[in-house]
Amino acid sequence: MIHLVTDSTSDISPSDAESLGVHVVPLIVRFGDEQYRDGVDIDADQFYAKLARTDVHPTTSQPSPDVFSTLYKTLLSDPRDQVVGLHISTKLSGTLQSAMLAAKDFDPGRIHLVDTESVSGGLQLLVRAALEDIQAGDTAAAVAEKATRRRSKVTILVLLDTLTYLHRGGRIGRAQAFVGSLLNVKPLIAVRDGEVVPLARPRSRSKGIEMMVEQVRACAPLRGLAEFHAAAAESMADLEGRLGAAVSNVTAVLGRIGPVVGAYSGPGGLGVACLGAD
Amino acid sequence: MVGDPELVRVHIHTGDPAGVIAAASSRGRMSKLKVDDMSAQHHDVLERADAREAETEAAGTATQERPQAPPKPIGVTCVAPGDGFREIMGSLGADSIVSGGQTMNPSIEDLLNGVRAVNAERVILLPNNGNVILTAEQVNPLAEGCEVRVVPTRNLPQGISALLAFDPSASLDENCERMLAAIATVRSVEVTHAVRDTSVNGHDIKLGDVIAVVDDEITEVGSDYLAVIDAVLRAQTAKPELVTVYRGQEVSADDAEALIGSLQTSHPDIEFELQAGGQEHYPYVLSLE
Repeated sequence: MIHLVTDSTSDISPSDAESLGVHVVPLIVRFGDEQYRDGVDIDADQFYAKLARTDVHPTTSQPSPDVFSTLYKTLLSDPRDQVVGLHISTKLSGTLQSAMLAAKDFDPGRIHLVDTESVSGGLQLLVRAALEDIQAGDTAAAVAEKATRRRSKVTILVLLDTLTYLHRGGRIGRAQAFVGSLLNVKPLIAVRDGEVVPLARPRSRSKGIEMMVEQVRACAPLRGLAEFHAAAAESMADLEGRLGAAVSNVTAVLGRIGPVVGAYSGPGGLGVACLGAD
Repeated sequence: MVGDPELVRVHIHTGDPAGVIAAASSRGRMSKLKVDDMSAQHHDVLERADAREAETEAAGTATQERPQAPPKPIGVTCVAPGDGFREIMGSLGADSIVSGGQTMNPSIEDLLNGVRAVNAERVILLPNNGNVILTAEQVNPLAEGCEVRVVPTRNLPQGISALLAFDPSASLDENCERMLAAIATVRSVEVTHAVRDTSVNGHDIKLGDVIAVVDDEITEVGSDYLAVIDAVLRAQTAKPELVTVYRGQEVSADDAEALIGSLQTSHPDIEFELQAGGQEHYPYVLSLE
């Protein structure tokens, strides 16, 4: 049997993970000395509520190799079983490195790890596509290889309220160019080749959502679509409505930007990810 | 690393302290742990070096000419009147700003100096005034070793929209295209006083009247700012979502806030943003998006 492992930056809800049979390894989010396992000890609602109440800037860290080791031991107790691990971009997190350290203690060929160069909805779409490959009977190596090839077909766009969180968290990349604007802008960023790049500086959310819809439309034909928000339900409804009218051949995965990713998007973030057809 | 089979002391440089701690805790019990941020120390050193360099320059004792940084691929020069507009354009990424605007049009030389100050292989020049476009178009043949392209922004709101659309990683052609598309989506409203009695577009205008120039055309005339701006907003067939109000040099922040308060009451669906433009001659410049 092939077990699919991902991490909590895929923003897969616990109920979806269970019904899909995906194993989700939590990253850690911290407020000062308090630490929480993403999606286990703290959920999106609790995280944004806490963020609104505190002046402490949240930080995050990758899961330790031990966590991966323990999971791999359980999953690989049957010598015929294998693991495919799809994880957050190595340019954004050291999660994959922890997984690789843990994998060293197992026979090569039993654990196939992929740097998806992706995060959040984008990572989740790759996970869902890989599950379909497993169901279709692909080998673990083939599943990993297809996921690696597919990552270039993922587009991730995030409309932010502020760049503060990305900046303070040290993940701003080339979107640094957008920092310091005296005018009120809603930065639109993308995750491309695994890192954050600036796309546009719309003056309003509505204009920003329009730009997102245009970009998604340009990715057609689509295999998957995911829409995510960080305490921005109203904008999410707007995005859903406009994307629903623009893209009709796929059913969108809807969800929340979870605590770890939310520590970088900040509240108000609105994301869309799409996966082009193979 | 020092120690014996029971106890070790390890000093590690890493970009991933959490990973090191996790790995260490999986090997044994940690008795003492100290983590220092070397990148912060490194930044401190660089900052002190910069400060020393600035001091040396200020004291006029710099004898060696600093080698000029290599030119960047693409940059932007803007023409703007008023400290406020200059600061805003700087914050949006303009590489150099040439003072000028209504009644104080910059010369070709001013513009050329502005372009040279960017130190880029290609420079986009935003004239931000209808009367500056022709002068701006004469800069390219004079700018040796630099390709200058004019995006014909006729007013400051267009200039800001063009600047917001700038992408330093995109090509010159792509940027000009993006900027042209951006300026088509913004409407400029310049509010000023008539300097003489006249009749334009069927409006009888008296000296001192408040007039609104919407994209180069006088569309409203009245006796006070609020009534004229309100009339402009009501006359828009496509209702703007966002109105940015740039107050001129002669308007106080209090007056401008009071004006926006009244506008907000009569136009609850529009978002208003107040900025200090600092421009002369135009008490208010508005951008409608």
